[in-house]
Amino acid sequence: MSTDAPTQATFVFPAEPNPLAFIRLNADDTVTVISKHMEMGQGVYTGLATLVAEEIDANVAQMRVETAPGQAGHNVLYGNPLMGGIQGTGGQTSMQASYMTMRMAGAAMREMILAAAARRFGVQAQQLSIAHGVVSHVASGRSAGFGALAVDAMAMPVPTNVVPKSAADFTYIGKHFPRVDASDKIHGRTVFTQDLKLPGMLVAVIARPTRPGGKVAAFDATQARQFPGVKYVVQVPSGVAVVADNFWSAYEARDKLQMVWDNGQAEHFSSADIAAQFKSLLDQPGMVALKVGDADAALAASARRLTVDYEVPYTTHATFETLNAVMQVRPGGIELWGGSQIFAIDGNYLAHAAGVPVEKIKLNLLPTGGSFGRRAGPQAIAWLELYSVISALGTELPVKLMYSREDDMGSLGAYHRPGFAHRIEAGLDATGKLVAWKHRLVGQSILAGTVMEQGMVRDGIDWLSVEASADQPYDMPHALLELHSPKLPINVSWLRSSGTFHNGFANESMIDELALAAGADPLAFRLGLLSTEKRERACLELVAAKAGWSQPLPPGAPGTQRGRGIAVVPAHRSYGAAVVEVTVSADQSYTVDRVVCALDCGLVINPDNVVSQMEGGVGFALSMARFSEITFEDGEVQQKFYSDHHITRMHTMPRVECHLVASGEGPSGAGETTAASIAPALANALASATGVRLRKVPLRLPTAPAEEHWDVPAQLNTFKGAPVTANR
Amino acid sequence: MEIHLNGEARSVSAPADMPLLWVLREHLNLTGTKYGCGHGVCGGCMVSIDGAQAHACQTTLADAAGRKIVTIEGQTGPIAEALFAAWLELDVAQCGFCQPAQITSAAVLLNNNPTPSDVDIDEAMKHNLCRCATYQRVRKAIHLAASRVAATAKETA
Repeated sequence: MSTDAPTQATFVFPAEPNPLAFIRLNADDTVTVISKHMEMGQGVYTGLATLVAEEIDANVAQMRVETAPGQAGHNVLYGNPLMGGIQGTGGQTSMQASYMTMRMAGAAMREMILAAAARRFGVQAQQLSIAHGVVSHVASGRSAGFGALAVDAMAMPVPTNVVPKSAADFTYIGKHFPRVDASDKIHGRTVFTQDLKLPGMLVAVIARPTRPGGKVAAFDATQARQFPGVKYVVQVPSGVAVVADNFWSAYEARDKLQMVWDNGQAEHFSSADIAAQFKSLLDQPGMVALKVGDADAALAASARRLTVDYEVPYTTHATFETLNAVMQVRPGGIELWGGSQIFAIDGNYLAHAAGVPVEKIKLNLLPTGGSFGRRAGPQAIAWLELYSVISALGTELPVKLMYSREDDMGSLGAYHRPGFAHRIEAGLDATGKLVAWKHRLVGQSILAGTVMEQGMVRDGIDWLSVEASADQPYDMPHALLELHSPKLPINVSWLRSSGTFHNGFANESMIDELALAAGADPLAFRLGLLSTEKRERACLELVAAKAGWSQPLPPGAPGTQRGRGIAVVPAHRSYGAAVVEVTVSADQSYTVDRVVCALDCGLVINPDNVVSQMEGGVGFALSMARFSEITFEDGEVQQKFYSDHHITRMHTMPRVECHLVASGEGPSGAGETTAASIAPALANALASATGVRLRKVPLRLPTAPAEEHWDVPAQLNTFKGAPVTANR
Repeated sequence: MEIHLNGEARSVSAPADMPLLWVLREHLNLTGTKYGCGHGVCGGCMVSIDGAQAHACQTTLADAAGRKIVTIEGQTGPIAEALFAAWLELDVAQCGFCQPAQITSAAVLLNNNPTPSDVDIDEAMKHNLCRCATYQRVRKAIHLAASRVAATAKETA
């Protein structure tokens, strides 16, 4: 295999090209790309289609994408090399993992197309050219489309030595390629799991105990069974399932169950208890995640010391499409329809529970209405519940399990990004230079107890707890990082930006506090700690230039205070920086006016999609930084709807400006990195505006009015009560 | 029960208290209108009723009877076409789940206000959540569609 593409370690090469596994030429002149990754909004279908279209010189309009069959084993054909060879989508690995795989597949298919055309025309392949999906022999004027050549091309021997295009010849990579899935999505034609209907399909919802350890003591389903559309009510391990011929009937009938819960063994913890436990652990030495020099001695010798605690709450994915799944169990095996970011995890849990070989589980992977980690591992909980419902019914009909909104966010089937407490002690020397850094953090391990624990938890340290701290970019001659991973009865999971969100918040808030203490400009202070080879440096310089950091911030209206903050965070093999501008009103509420961000994600395949992911990352991170919080009382989640777990809306979305760092590195991811730098940049902006340093997320100024409880808006649904006019 | 849906009279046999959302999705197979919360908070089920934004989850079949209902599947005409085109041109959609409802709200807005300001867009669109946070492009697409509709109207005038 040879290639003229750059060969940095960040390029992941397949052993050999495999065009038939990833590309299908169709007689109708369309080209189908087989995606081994789940499309959840991140644009991976379009990215993969771009790479294939580039190599075979196809038209944008002829590209189609379908998902690969789910494979739950190790080192599978559709595995992700950045996930140890299991099939998976997440951690913004997809384009990095598949870049050369798809280009090599495309380059091989190109040779096969040319070979088929050469035979058809009776000419040498070297005399042929391809443009816009048509193969031409200029001398004879003969030409043929991919559709006409499809059968012959795919029967050609697969070349083992292929040379992908050189970057100078790119027509799509790094340029514009419209989303392949956009038209169906905006017209409401895309079939999500929520929309899937199969013949005879039943729909189940489950009444679950609200507190961990709670159990069903007894129930009376008389009224529920009488509800129109209800077919069955059955007890299952997680509660009581109501099964109907449609969701609404099952959901309404669930409310009519007379449930008696046994809470004798149920948990009583509250968020206040967790905060107290975390606080006490912050006073005790933890497991060492990183040790450079002697931080304690350097602290003792420093001219000035700061000790600061930061806090980030639990929060949840709140995906628009709630968790769901469709399953059919027949003697030959189990067939599934729906989402799964990591089928190897979800599929193996199901295989184990059902006692069937994992090869007997067939997954039809559908696009999902968001995921952000929701369906990475936690998908399995719905599959296990659904299998238990089907087993209880003994049916061979397909059954859909639906989580209602409150089930998705607030039931025992909900998963949460763990809350974290941080304490950072840092020392400056007499010149204001950072000389000592001691960081201790406390929060639940996401990976403990999962099948990924073995690979991603080393010496007790869950990488997801310390990411963006263990690899923080600043020159620190003396640094100590310690972790406590207390076990709590709360389901925890990754969520867009995962550990880089809270580590980024703590680190980059502290750096700003130190800059202030040193009397230094926050940008200059950071640059002074970043050696020239750090990719964070170019991000900071670019974002500062684009934001006009060297110019004073224009003042706001009389009675308001304006501020600007900066932050840079390495996240999931990419690097992101942001400048956030805020205006604080007299009542201490604030608006985020403008966010400028810079991203280094290596080689950029679809620039517009990367920008789209950055814009989305800003909005998503602002939800987490400003509004969203999951709290617990008596073991139960307190925020089960968007009315309490607020997220960014149109009127709270700032103007976002995105800039990409030109990079010669291989492609890395774009979905999560931007989200990591937003909370600290916002806290830094608020501190700059008001002098008040907020160290607890969500970021609310002390005397600000409470967030409104969002309810059905009165100005909507105005037709109710209005007279019905005939003959409209 | 008779409803006036996407320009046609439709007869539905469903319980009178069944929310329109589920009538559309379960009885009429119109799945472009989405369930996101069932409480009128997320806006994923937004449809147009008598020319105004309405939550299909907060509207019973009985409420809807006799009213003029338009779902994403029935969005036609110059404003809808301009919105679809702008949405594609700016590649607004990410996961796409909320996008039909966004376009429905945008269509209601432009029908009532052909040249909305940013504040008008905030007011009309703040009822439609997007967890992918495509808001900046939604805003741009509405402005773009509005300018195209205005330009076309000027040409034909």
